[in-house]
Amino acid sequence: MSGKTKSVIPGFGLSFGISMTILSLIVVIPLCSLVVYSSQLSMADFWEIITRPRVLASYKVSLTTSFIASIINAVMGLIMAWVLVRYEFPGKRILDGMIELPFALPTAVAGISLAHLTVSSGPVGALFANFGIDIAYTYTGITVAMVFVGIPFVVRSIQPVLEKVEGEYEEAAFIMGAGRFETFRRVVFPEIRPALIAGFTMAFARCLGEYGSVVFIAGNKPYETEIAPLMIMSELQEFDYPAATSVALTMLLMAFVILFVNAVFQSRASAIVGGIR
Amino acid sequence: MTDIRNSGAESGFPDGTAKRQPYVELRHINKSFGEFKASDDVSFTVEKGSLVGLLGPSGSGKTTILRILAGLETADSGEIYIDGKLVNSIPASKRGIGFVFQSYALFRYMTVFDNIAFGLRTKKVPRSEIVEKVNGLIELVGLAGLNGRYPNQLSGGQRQRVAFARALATEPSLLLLDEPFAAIDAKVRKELRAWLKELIQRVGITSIFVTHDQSEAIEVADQIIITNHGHIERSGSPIEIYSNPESSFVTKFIGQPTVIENPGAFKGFSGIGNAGATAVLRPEFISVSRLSEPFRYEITAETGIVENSFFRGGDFELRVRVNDQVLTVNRPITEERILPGEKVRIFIRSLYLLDGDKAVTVLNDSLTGNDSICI
Repeated sequence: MSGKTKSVIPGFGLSFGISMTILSLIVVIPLCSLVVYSSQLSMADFWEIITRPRVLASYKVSLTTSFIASIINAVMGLIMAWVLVRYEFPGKRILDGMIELPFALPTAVAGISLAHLTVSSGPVGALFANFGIDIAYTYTGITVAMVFVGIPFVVRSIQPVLEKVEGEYEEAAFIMGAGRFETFRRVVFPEIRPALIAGFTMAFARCLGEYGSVVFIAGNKPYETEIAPLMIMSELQEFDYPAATSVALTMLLMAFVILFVNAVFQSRASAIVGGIR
Repeated sequence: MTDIRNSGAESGFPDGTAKRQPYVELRHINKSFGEFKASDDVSFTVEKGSLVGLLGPSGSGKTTILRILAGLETADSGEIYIDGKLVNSIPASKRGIGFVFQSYALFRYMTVFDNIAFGLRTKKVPRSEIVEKVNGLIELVGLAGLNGRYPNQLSGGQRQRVAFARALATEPSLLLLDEPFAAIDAKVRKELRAWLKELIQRVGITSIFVTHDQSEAIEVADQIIITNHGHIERSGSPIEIYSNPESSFVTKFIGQPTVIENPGAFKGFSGIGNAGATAVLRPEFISVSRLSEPFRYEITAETGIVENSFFRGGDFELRVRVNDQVLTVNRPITEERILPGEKVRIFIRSLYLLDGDKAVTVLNDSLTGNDSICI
């Protein structure tokens, strides 16, 4: 950028500087502070904190429910995206707009209303209680809340990709004798797979860190329905910053792993579509 | 490989010994999309082993005909016969056709090999047979060594070859191609036309392709079917259609037509008389010479002023104003150059006189001995 190539917006130096500053202030510095706080502990102490039975139990709760919720989201989100892209029906635009509500709604509001609905005296909870199924204060309840916050990620990643899958693809497969299922499995699904994986991992990462909507419905019974973000909260309430940041650092690592797995899939897909030689 | 060759041997078309039988036949096909009539009583036949070009301006219904033949659209009425069988209610996959889409519709997440093998796998062909056949096809279309490439790692021409091989893999008896050269840049297009024609003849498969480019149809097809507003205007060999367009639409569509009003006003065509007539001229019907050059039919030649000159490679295309109308004439580069503004002699050998839907050839009086004749 020695000024030889002119771009429409001038001042690469200035705009790059602003980008880097914002990125540092908002992302890098807070993340580094996690490491700094945790590093007040010795390795042994750090290990002891993040492997306390109660903390371990909370990882298990978070990982299990997030995973189940993301699987549900992937399947349901795919179907919703399919319906929104492939069919015309009255109220389509309203439905399309509603997909984003979980993004916009304060998560605590969602949590409270979900909890209210699903407790055994609530309208939905009572219905399920007849069959001996408890929703609130169980894994099921946590999963329900996570499905709620995760669904837009999947729908919004698949939708634009699905719109671009040409009708000719399906016609070509049809002429060559493929049935509906085979056409979907071998022709349409590979096209949307990268987007589905992206949606799944984003939803998974989001669910793992979700706090507001989950705490109300989870019941927060130690060893049973305590989620990992809640552990950070409770350490903070005891003013044990190093312990809180240690747990946070562990969760950060999990998020990185998830995003890394996604990146591997995406780069493979873009190598095929992008046409490297 | 060998199977494909065999299916070609049946046709026996090129040597002309086998009886020419209609292989594909459309009878009174109608198809509307809402208000728009895409096919209007379309009927035609295609002989076995021939290479047919469906030619027409965009929106003339040529792709609809192809899609109805393929079974991708259902006709509102009419009958479709392939190899003597009524196929109206037979699904696309059972009609024994191969289809090459305009965009090729290659599956992006499958390698060249898997794309070509797709139809064979859906038909549950044994694995070893698939490998043998697909490799044979890759060899046939000249893509050896690219088995493992993905479509986006290929050039436009290579993609077309893959699409072609994929369409042939299931050994169809009829190959349909929708604008097969549209997505390829002009330079490679010429090369691919010759390649495709040669390959189709080698494989010996009856083929129908759609194009809006007349030079493509003239160069590639054995038979051209011209469509206009959903109906068939004219059908015949490229030479027949070019030299005897018959209908007014085809006359104005084929070649490099210039429409002129009141042709009776031009010297040598006084026999036409009628003031309201319209005629079509092609550059090859007109010769241009300098006034200083000697000329045989001086009496029936016109003079005009050159308005523009465009270099076209082999010759100059001149726009000459004669009788207040602009004619297009070619002047070979080997002749003395004529510059804009020069006064020149124009001799019109013949023209197509339009009469309602019909077009008739009228020769210059000097060439007929003072009487204009109609062919």
